Amino acid sequence: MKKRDFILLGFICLFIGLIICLTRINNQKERYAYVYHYDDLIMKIDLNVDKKYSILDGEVVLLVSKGKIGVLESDCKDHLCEDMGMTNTSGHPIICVPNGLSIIVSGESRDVIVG
Amino acid sequence: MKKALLVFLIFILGSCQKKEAPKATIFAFNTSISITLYDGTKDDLYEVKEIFYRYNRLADYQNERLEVNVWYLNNWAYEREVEVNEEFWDLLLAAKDYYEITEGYFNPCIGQVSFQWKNILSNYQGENMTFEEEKLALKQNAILFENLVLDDYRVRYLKEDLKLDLGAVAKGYALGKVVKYLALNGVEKYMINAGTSSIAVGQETYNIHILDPLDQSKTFMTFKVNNNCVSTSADYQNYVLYNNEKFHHILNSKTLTVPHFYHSLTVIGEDAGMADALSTALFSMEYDEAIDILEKTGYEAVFYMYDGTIKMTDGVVVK
Repeated sequence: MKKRDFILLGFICLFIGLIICLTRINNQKERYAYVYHYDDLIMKIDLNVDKKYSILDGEVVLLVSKGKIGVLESDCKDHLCEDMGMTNTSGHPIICVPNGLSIIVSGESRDVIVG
Repeated sequence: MKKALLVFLIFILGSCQKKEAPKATIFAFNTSISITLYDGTKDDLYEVKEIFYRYNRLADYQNERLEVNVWYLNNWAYEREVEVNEEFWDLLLAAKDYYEITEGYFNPCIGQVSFQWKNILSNYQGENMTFEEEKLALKQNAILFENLVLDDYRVRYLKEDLKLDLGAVAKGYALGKVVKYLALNGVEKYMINAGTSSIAVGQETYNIHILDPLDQSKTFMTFKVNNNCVSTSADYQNYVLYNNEKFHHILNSKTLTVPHFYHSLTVIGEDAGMADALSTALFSMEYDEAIDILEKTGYEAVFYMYDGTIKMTDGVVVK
């Protein structure tokens, strides 16, 4: 191998490293919550935009704040979904059984909440 | 040399493109089930969903379905012997095993009382709950397991008011079947979260955080699992307060009263069906009795005691 081949190889490694870093940063930035009504995906919500969403004809209000999502208001009887707090991880889905609603955050997580 | 480097570059960049894991969220067993198969195929995902749907239909006690299910047995098995398919038969035999292993604390024949109890909790308007408990206690004859006759794929009820309720184990049992399917088909890395109360993870280490039953905005402990199943029962879902006493959804199938030994109980073990049955049954047992059952079965558990202390078996790997 000539000297310029080593230089080229160095550039390639640097380039690959850069691509991997950029991909990871991008993946961390892009975070969505998928909202299901029973088996149907009804909404994909960008967690980078703080906003309130009224869904199911106003029966449920979702809140996105600081990269997290939660149920702000629900017309269900037990309001357990409101008590489940805010989530930003796929290991902590928010479920409202009476409304058949589940909110799953994108991405892979090795941290899972049970209860 | 340049060509070799170019090929190498293309190969590396190609490798950087991460393959999307097949995943789905479905609604079954009255909850949301999230399925992610990190090294599975779309066909595997389809099969996994089908397993959950099939057992959801079999355990349905409210609706008549195309196949014989719990609703069908509860409506017809007293009048005549009913033949069931192999999957339903195996589920019934598993329920019988769970009944025997838990010494009757898990009782699939509790439907007459548990359906009524669910109804009371969901329509509660401030009635006297102590009175309701006394009323429930009168139903004990209807729930005797001996009134359920299982004979070579045929089922017969000996009492008219016997009603099956597989709600406490059907979801876990189906999850166990899914785990077996994945093992048989070489899928090793997966995460299945059935309503946050039943979970199965493949051959990767996961941190499991248990929700604090007294404040669900936080968790009270974390443990590690790998290639295992987790099932939790707790008293903060579906309950009413009467005279400062919590009347939750889990009934002691022997006394037909609401147990107050634990706020939350998490069971860890290889079979999701057994873990589900144990988390329900142990909820009605005193601590020492629960430990005896766990030692017999080889399952681990974390107890959030009613006095607020935390106890666990030696095999729980705390993070």
